[in-house]
Amino acid sequence: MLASRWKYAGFSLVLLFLAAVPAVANNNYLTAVFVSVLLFFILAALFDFMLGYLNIFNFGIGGFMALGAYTSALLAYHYGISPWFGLLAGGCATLLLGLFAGIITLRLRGIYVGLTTLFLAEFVLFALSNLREYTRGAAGLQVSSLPDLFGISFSRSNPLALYYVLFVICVVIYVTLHCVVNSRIGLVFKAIRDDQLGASVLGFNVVRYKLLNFTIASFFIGVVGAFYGNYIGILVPTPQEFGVARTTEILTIAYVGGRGTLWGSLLGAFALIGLQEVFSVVDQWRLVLYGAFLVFVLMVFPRGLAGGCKQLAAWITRQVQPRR
Amino acid sequence: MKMAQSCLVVEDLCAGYEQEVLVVDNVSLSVAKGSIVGLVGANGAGKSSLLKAVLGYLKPSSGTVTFQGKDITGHRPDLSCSLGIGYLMEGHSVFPSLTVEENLLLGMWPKRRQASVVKAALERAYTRAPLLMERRKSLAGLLSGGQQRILELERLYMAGPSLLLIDEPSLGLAPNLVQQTFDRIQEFSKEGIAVVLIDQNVRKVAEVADYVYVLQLGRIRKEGTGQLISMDIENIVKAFI
Amino acid sequence: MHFELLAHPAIVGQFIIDGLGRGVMYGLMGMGLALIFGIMGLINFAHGSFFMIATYIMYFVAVHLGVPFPIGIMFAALGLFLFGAAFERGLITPLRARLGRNWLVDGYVMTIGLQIVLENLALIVMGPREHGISRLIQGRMSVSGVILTNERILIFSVAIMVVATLAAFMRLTSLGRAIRATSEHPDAAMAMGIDVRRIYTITFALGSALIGGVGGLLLSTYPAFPTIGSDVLIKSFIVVIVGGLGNVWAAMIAGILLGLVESFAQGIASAGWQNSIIAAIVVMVLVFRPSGLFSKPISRP
Repeated sequence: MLASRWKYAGFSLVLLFLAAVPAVANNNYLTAVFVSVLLFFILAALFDFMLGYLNIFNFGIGGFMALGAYTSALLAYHYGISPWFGLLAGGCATLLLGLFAGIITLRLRGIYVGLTTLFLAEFVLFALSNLREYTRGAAGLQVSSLPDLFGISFSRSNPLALYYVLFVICVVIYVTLHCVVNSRIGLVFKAIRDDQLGASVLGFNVVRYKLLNFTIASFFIGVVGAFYGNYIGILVPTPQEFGVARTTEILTIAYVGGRGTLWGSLLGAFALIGLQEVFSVVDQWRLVLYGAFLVFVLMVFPRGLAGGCKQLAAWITRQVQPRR
Repeated sequence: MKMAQSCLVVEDLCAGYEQEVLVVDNVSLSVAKGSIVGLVGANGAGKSSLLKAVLGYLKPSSGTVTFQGKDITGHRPDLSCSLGIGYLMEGHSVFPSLTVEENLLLGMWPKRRQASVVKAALERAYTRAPLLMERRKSLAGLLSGGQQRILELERLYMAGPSLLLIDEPSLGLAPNLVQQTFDRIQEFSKEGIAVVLIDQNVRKVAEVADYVYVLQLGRIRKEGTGQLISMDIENIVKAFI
Repeated sequence: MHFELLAHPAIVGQFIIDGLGRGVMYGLMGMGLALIFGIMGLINFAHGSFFMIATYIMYFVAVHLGVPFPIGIMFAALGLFLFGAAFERGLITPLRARLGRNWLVDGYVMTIGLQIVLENLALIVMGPREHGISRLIQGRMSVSGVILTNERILIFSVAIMVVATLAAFMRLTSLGRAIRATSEHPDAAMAMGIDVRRIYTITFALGSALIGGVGGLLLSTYPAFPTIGSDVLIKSFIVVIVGGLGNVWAAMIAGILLGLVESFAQGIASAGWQNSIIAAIVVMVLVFRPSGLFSKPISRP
């Protein structure tokens, strides 16, 4: 009882912090930092939702994002469809890709899933850059900004409003994932992760559960991708934006945060993005830092920052409780 | 008392896969030179785990393992072989896509640099099991189960061990092959090789073994010479297996 | 589409020669990756970065120190052998010791970490500038209109030599036997007295040395550049997947196949799309024939 009350208190505090700080500071630089923290947090949480709970290695998460971003942007560019609707449309397109990828790969052994998603994402990226007449390829696709709603401007000149859009998206996604993970389905996920054969012997359709997990994650990746497109304003299908490089960044944050704990990704995102902002390191060192962090975490901190926090909390509880 | 001529001595050995759950619980036993020691017990009694703990596949949490006067508790499993301990693990352990001859040669791994010794051992194995000679170029995975067992036993013998730990040699074999396998194990012992033998076939083990330990839930519950155990076999099977 | 080009034997011959030339390079690139995967089950995402390091070593030794090319290639191979051994011993072995049988996922994430560090360190240290050589050896010949450079012939012969040496090593030496045994049944290999940890280190180092030597050999085609590795990694992945994960010899055949497909596609179709087509083919192979087009276990060349 006490523990769960503490949890809700902590959750509310974090929410309050994330909601209040950018508004109070009202500083475009800080808002931009918070946007990238939230973006990486939610992508890493989605990555972890697949990897940490079902051992599904989605190595094409960057390409999945690209599909969401391009779907929304192309609908607006060619057909004048509102980007608000595009957020959902991007999610749906990616959901279809995820469903397709899931159906063809999730029967396979772990590493094959990783490689298949990697090459599917490569295919998407190559196709996006080759369909020049339609997507403008490497020349870059202009993305129209989100139109005004309720008299509030959501253009890129008002980053704070965009931040709150992302904030709402993140809360919705996080709460959904949290509910799934803590439901009966989540228990089955963990059973499959720990002992796939055992779970299938108990009568659980392993592939179906994996597919469910994978499509949920794909849909949300698409939504986040669509938002990302609106936020940056121009889409170029490069590996740095949507390819292996982006995937490894997300993976690093998920690992640094701690696998199998969704909220750990927030710690991971704050740690890595915070560090690079605090030291205002140049772009190149940023990635060296990511790699070094990843190796460090694997070697000495296998459960990530979240694991460290849990240990710390346990230690404090031991100190606070009177010895018997 | 009989420590002097003991080949393997295990004292108060404890080991487990998870903390606090002991699969091998305070086991002490000794194996005299050239003798056959049987380990019997129900499934999950800890027989295989005991062998694994002796060899270091499973790290013991306490106790000691002494082989020919040398403390080998919890050392790396691959070191056993060069000391002269052979291990036949449960199930098939041939390397299926290596040829029969390559499998035999791997049995000589610790002595691989002594070309003449390797050659002699290979010839000895082929004389003893002409079948292996015939099929020396074929893949071990293509042999029948019984042939694979023969290959495994000869491979064990290649490096000239002084102690063999043999886990379930008769599992999955046809009855005539079972007899052949036990005969081979007795031959080992006649040559002065000590053998620790685990098998489902309790009566057979009691028949060939000089001394038998009965395990239950990781502990030794009864022990005695093969003859004594054979005489009391019905009760033992009822009580422990 | 320019299908009419296929009517000219000289042009088709040139396509084939170009395809073979490239394909052999792809095959060589894939072999180290396939070796490591075949024996350890580990996918080395830093494979491309190893290639990149090798090109810098080759450039430094051959151009700055003016050492003959063959020795430069040996230096690159040796350097990567040591680097691979150090990485395996220092970072992968502890991981395996801690995690037991579940080390693989963390293992390849570890190589991802290494890859990020190496690539970006190279960007900082060496800068985004290409360091290359024009060719290893001079000369070319022309057979009825088809041009064949001596360098291609050299690379081709080296490829044959490497395949033959590796096959001989795996089949005829006791270390090769131990490596194959370890990949099939590590516990049984341990019972034979084989130090499995050492075998893994040696295997990883050998795979690294292979890609190291290849990096040195291909310097004229792939000049030293910090991000050269990502292309090499993708090409190696393709080759290894199409050949069958872990199958060293099939990687060479798959490499030649890939080279031919690329050469013809670039010749007759508009550029750019061949990448999408190849990615689609790879996905199809993964889905329909996950064990590769030429599935045979690694130990049977």
